[in-house]
Amino acid sequence: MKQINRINNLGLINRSKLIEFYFNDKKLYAFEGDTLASALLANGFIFTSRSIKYHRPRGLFAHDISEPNSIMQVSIEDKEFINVQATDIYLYNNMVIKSINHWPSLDFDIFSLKRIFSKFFLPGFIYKTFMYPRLLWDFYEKLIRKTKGFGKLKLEEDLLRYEKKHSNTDILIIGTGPSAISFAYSVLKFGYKIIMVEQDSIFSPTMLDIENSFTDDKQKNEFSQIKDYVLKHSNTTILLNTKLSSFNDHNFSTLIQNSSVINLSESNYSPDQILWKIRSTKVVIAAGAIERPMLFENNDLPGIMSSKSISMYLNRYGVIPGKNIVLYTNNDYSYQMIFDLLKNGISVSAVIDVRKNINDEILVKLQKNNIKVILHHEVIKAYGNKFINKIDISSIDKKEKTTIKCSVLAVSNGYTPINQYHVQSGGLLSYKEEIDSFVPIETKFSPIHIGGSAGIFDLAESIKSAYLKSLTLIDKKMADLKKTSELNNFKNTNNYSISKYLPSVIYNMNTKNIFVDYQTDTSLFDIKYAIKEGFIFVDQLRRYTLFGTGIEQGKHSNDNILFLLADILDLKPDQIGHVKSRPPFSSINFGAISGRSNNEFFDPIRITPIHNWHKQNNAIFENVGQWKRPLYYQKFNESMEESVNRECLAVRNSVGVIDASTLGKIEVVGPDSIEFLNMIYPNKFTNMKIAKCKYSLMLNDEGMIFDDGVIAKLDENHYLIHTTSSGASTVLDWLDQWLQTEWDHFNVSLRSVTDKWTTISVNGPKSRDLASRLFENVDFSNESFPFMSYKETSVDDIPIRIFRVSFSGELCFEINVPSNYGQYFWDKTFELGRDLSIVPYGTEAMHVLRAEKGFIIVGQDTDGSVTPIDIGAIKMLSKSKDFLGKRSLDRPYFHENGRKQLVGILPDDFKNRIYDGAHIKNINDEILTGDILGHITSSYFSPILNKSIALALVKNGNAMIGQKVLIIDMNLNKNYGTITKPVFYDEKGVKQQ
Amino acid sequence: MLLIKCIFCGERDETEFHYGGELRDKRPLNPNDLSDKEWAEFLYSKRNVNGIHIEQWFHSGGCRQWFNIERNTFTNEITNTFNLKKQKITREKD
Repeated sequence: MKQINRINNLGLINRSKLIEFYFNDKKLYAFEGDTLASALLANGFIFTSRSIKYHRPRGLFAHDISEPNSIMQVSIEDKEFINVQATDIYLYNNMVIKSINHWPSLDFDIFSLKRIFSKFFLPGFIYKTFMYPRLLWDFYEKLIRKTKGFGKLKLEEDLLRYEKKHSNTDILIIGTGPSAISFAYSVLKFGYKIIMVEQDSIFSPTMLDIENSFTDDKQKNEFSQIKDYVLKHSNTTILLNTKLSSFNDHNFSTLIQNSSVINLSESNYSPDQILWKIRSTKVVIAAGAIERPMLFENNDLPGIMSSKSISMYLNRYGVIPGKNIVLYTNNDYSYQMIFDLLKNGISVSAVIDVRKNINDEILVKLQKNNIKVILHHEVIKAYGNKFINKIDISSIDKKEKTTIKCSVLAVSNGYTPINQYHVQSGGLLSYKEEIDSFVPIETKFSPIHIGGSAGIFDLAESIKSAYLKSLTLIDKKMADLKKTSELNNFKNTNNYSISKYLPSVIYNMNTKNIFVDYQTDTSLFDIKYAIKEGFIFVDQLRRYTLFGTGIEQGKHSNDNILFLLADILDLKPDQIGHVKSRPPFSSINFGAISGRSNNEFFDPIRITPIHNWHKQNNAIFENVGQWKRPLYYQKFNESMEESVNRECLAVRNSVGVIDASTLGKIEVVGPDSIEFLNMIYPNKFTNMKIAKCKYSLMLNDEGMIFDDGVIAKLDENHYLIHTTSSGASTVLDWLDQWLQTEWDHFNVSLRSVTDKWTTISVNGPKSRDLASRLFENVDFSNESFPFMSYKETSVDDIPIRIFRVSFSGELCFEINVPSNYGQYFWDKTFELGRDLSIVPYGTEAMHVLRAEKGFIIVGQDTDGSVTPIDIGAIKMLSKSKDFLGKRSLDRPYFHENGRKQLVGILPDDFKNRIYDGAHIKNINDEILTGDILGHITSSYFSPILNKSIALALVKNGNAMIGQKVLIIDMNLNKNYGTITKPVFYDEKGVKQQ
Repeated sequence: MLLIKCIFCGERDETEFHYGGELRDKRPLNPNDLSDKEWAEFLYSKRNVNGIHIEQWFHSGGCRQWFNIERNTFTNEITNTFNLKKQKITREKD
């Protein structure tokens, strides 16, 4: 139960609650509130993982999401988390943690021998080596994949519950540190509403180590009052355990909440993770800065840690990484770690600073505590098998060399402000020499950066500057008035400095053990090698060496590499550009992005009023756009083919009924309707009589078919146009666009009535008989109700619309009844038709019937590059008026030879149908030779003809009618067939008349 | 995601709208007077401005009205929103 590295009475963890957990099958103990990282550290586990490429031992480096090494596989109860950073997930009772990238165990890893072969692992090794012979790549790939990647994915359903939340606010502040509090205090006084976001589970955790750095007790008290004011204000909303994931246009932000927390409640209503979408008037980034590692040989050994993180582990969790701590730094800010340690009675064995001079006050303090300070020295090499145990140091001028023993080496190579959000949204950075880092160049579109994120690392200075920056949000007069705030008194008194430092070893030959990116195992040698090969642009270099592509996206490494690149190319850092980071900032589950929008909630499901009847009658459904439509109705143990054949024959021989309610229906009303339709459709509507119907294609202005349907003239200036089932909303949008943006002089209004009517389409030779039984007062005779006409009637004041059109090629009446009565009339139809052997049929039979007649389905037989001329509908194109697409179709190209034309195909093997999409070639060609003339667009077995049929688009198809062709399907089977006209049954159309 | 101010409904998220492309010239009244080249120019050529241009938007998930906005294609800043009537005046000025 003893936690060897835990210090008493320090940190914000719940010491009254002991937690059991397992790390690589070893039972350990920690406290509630610990992260995996602090729990492992408390138990003395600095060595936590193996690196991905060379399987080198690696340990905890940082305390936050910039942690590159400790990636874990975590499971608790039935939940499994892969590729989580140990610093980014809290510890729970009975959690099982496994380290990755090793076999058989973390301590002894066979793959670490790979280092011997390291000359085979140069950048681009895999692609250069396994390129030839091409055919073996599939084999290589399987082997290579096995050795790659981090955690192991459980191929099961994600059991976490995800939720999305939308919100808005005046100002969204990312971070709850001192500068964020200062900014918040100021804008709250102006009456703004704010949301403050903190990735930790407590408000302002960084204040813990910063409180020590207030030199003035009065200011310390003042600031804690300000903090209370912000916390208690009614306009403040605080989101804990939340990270900003992306910053987008117009201040739209997405945030992920609770990704580091595990929800163990039994309730089905509490979500595990929440994706926030927040629109604000301004976003403020106060997310601080990330400490960079130092470069020397074996700088990746466990025990080498960020100095700032050591402070955080100490103050936040009461943990120290080891006893014998040495600091290696290039700046004054990192000395805060020593003061934090001293305060708790822990001393530091030595300090190695690359600078000649350091801040006097610091020097005095160190000497007072008998800490050895070695100035103007650098670390050359670290030694250790699984932990660091000693370091070689040398003076910068290389004259003196010594060895120092240590168990922990705290490093600090300056700080990188969090600028990823700014860069994500297209922002630029500039290099600031005095802090040796890149700071955002703010524009009015970018977020406001304050504190460490703006490159201001001094406490008092960042409080003051954040306050002054908040004043830019209000008008000048108010700002002048407000400059008297107490926050204005915070002044920088420290004069701390950072000096730029690049080790001289970068010009050494052997740089393979100097790691610049821990997570992707990119060494300095790799960078130099890639530059030598010509990859001198940042993002090229990144893709070639893979630095910055892991889970933490190079947060600790990017800047170091930029400086190296600049140095090697002999350029200034701001001349080489910077890494273009993209969202998300930290890793995020796919489940959180989809939220509840999956399975039945992925897209709305539309059903017709007769849906339940379909279900009760064993309908198998298919999706048509958002609609559920019966594909066929299964009787007894029929196969799909048997069902479809039975349904087809019923329509051809007696009567079949299909629910056609999904057809798009748009009413067009107004005095200019005729003119409008004349423009929209290629057919001419000028002389159309009331109660007549017309079939037409709908073309875009490029002359291509994009929808089709029947247009009925219900009354003077009142038309009903039908669209395809899936195209209804697109067509309505399209008509709206033309009416509003081009022809606003037309007095026409549109109304979608698709859902208002249920369409019962009665097809077959006996349909007239059935329709007469349904509506006794209507004369259904051919003379009174001819083909392509329309009648209205009513039953007990229920209006009924009947269209005599046909998509099956049979005598057909499409009966439209108001949707509320849909089921009633549907039932009545079947009741009255029982002795006519009435059969319901689905969309598959509908397709077979229409293909027998050569009727096209837009989107199946056409593909956006097919004109009416190509499908033989040239007669539809009016010559006496303009319409959309006319000018394009007048171009000679559309009338010349060489275009694909719609034809029919009768396969030689008449029993089996050919796959849709099969390629058509000349009869003498082979599978791999000869041009592809076209492809099969629809292919069915026709039960009435007792043979298979197909429609196809074939180059110069009309001229090839009667010719035999070779047809090659996707399984590379050879078939033969004869090209015919695209109509197979009742060519003259006698039956539908 | 852009925040677009519909002239009828006010500021709404981009997801409520359909993009209608950059504002093009009005469709010629007699397209047959145009040569093939001129017609192709009208149909397919876009100005594709890097900077401020005018484009059409359709509030399909709201009032179902078309309107125009002036947007900087580089910064995505929306500098103006106006109805289709005003668009005509701008067009004539062009």
